[in-house]
Amino acid sequence: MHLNNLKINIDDKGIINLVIKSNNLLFNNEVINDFETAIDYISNNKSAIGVIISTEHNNYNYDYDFNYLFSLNNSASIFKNITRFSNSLRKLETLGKPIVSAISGSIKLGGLEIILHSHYKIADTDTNTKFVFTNTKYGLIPAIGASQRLPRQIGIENSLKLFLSNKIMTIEEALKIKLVDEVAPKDKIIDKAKEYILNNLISLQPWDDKNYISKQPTPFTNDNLGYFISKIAMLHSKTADHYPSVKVLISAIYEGLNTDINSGLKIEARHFTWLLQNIETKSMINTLIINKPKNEINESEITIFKKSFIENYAAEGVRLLINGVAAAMIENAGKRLGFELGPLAMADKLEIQCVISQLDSIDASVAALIRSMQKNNRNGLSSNKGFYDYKEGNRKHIWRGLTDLIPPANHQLNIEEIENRLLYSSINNIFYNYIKHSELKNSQEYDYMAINNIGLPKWTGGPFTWVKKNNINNYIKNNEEYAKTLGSRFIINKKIINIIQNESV
Amino acid sequence: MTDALIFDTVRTPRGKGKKSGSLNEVPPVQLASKVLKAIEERNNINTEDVDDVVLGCVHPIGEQGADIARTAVLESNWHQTVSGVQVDRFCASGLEAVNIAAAQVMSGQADMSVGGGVESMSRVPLGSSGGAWMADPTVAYNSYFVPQGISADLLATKYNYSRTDVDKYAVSSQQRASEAWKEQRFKNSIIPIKDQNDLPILEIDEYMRPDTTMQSLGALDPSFEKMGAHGFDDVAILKYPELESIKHVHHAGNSSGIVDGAAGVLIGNKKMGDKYELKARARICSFASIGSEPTIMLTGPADSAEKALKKANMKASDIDLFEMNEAFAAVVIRFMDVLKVDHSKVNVNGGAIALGHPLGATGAIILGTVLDELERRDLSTGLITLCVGAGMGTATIIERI
Repeated sequence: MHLNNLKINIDDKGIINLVIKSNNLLFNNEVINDFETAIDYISNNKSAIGVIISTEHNNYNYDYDFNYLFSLNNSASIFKNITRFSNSLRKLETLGKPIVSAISGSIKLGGLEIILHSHYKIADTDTNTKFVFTNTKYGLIPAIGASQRLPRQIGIENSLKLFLSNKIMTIEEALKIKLVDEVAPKDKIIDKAKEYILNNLISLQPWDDKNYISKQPTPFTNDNLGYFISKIAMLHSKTADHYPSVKVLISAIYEGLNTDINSGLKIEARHFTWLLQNIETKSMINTLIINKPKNEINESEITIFKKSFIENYAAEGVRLLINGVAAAMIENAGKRLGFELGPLAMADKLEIQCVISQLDSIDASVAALIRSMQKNNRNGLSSNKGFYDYKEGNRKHIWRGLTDLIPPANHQLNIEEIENRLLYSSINNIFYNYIKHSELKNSQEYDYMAINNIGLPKWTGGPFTWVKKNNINNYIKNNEEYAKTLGSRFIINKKIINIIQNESV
Repeated sequence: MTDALIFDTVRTPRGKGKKSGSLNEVPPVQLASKVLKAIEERNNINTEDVDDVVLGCVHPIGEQGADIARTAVLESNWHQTVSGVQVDRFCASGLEAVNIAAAQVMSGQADMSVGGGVESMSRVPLGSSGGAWMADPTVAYNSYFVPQGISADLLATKYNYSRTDVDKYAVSSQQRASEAWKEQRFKNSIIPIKDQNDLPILEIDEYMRPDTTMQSLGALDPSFEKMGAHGFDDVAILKYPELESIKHVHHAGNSSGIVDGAAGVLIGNKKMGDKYELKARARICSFASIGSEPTIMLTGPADSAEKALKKANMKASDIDLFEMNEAFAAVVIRFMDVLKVDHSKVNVNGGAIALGHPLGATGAIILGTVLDELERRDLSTGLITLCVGAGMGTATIIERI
């Protein structure tokens, strides 16, 4: 049997070694087919007594093949193919024969997905074995069971910590939380695996043992309920209503852990299928993974954009204040968009004078407000007085006197309108500077730099991606509307429109 | 429509809802059963004439599970033909149970029913029944779930009720409850709890702190500040972006007390009144439940009161006395502000801040409280209302006959 990605060896005792040949394996149609073929072969081999999963390149640096996933153009097709992959490995997991993984090198989420199907995990101590978890927040959740198997194995809290961080976990730590069962030097690892197989000829995952179900951790057992309730709030408050993978991940864990593994796998696959088609998810994956620039971005290039970007953000906040929007609404709109600070807190941090350098053609009253603030000795964070009051550099609350200087209008905009204006202004600012410096990068690289280095929220996928994904005609129309009353920063250079229209979505 | 007549109101004293509380040793089914037995004895009824027993209970799990109403019927040795049903409308469960019993009579589908409730918060703790609302991430995200204490502080922040405002309210609740006990104003409804040897276990509402002052309350730390800092304040602000922050003003001294207790209201038609020569103390004029915004959660009482008033063709000014459950001080203050009702007509004998709030039972308890007080003052109309979890409100209007 020849497969491009896998190899099968059988020793004289009937122990099968399933070797992953490819370095940096990406799960795509060919890989799924190879696993199906190999696992069918293994299941049909009656004389086999156990299976060792190992790799030729000493790593489990595997991931989804995003080009493949995005080529699956409807829910049914995504769900079908994910389920096909999952069912195949599930078949291996439930053979009744011991499945052992020999783990080496760096293990990414894709590698973990494979490894978690084994009943016993032995990590080698010589190849710097480590789990490298990428924060689920900016991408996808597991597709073939890691959100179900990991919490069943190491608990809900440990699992969420790993999925929602960029943590690198050493094998010592992994051993401690029982993510791996044993460690051994590299040249002993296969012998150890064989030894385990010979000593455990009948083997099941704990979650396939009918005594296990009553002991399985669920969101309602032990201390999990309180943890779960407060974790949801923490995650919701940090992501507002963006970064859908976070909500989907914790939902998959909650729903899946209230039932058995088979239903759990379907639950996860359905969430994955939904998430893969979500605009924010697609935008982030496109910009941060698929189109990630090959070269590091130069700090000097970032500086050109970043200063202008954050000053403009602060200035837009002050303009909103001039327009009669209540300060709390402005600040909350910024936070809901995913900025670390509200615009007024940002103005304070930069010193409020910074706003002056960003003034638009019709911003005379903005300058007047800044001057009155300065006359009140409210220059910003460094003096503990700005739009906020501070105590030793810690923000206390919005300055109570602000409403005397600039009273809020009786009719307040709704929060979405304020968010929209901040977002449009921010995106336009990046475009404006792009036109000035377009020789530096192409639009994909700008998108990457915008969300990774400049400070535009990551869920947008960058200015070009955001406009493309959200209908360019709306973008043009809304800017025209803004430009009528709010100034020239809402007049979009034709070159930008041309770039967006000439690139495929 | 048949008049639903109130013949009797019975309640247990309220014991502190912790292991050291006097009622902790009494299983909840016994609390409910003592209420039913008292109703039978006090009214000298043949229980075969009771169609149904409807009991509110907010944590119907463990020893409060498996239909505690029917279990209490059996334990009370009532006739086997009496059915029992447990209902849950969170904090208004006890009043909802009364309303359902009344509806059975008003619709002619029952001649006599009991509505009431039970909660042993010391034995089946708050929150122990879990629920998708707070624990299912999809639901919690989509409904912007925050715990009730955060909602109460959100309400106070949004409507500018200061710590002084809520503490003042709490002091008055303690003073009024203390006065009421001194004058034995609860004596018509309250039954002493005794053991199987007739030895007394509890005869008074033991949660009260009559010596409460502004100063003593001032020493208490806000209860929900820490919880708020762990994400819930931010979730509340996602829903209420006009607020810069949540001011945490509620604490153990101006929020309802965690207690154990049970209550029942005997409701029937005129035929039953005549048969057993029972005095119809009042009739149920109208009742209503409503849904309101779930994150602030606790604004429902005014809406439900207005709905019930409309059904009864009445105005707030037609009501002589109000019982508005003191879940949190800010909730009552907001209710009085919206309905423009003076504090002198609301919770005149104190409320749950002083006396405690045994979740499933409270609605039935305070209905008895207001009826006793209407009789004592020789007034006519009473409105009972409670704020309800997940953004609801329930109200009932009664009128003496």
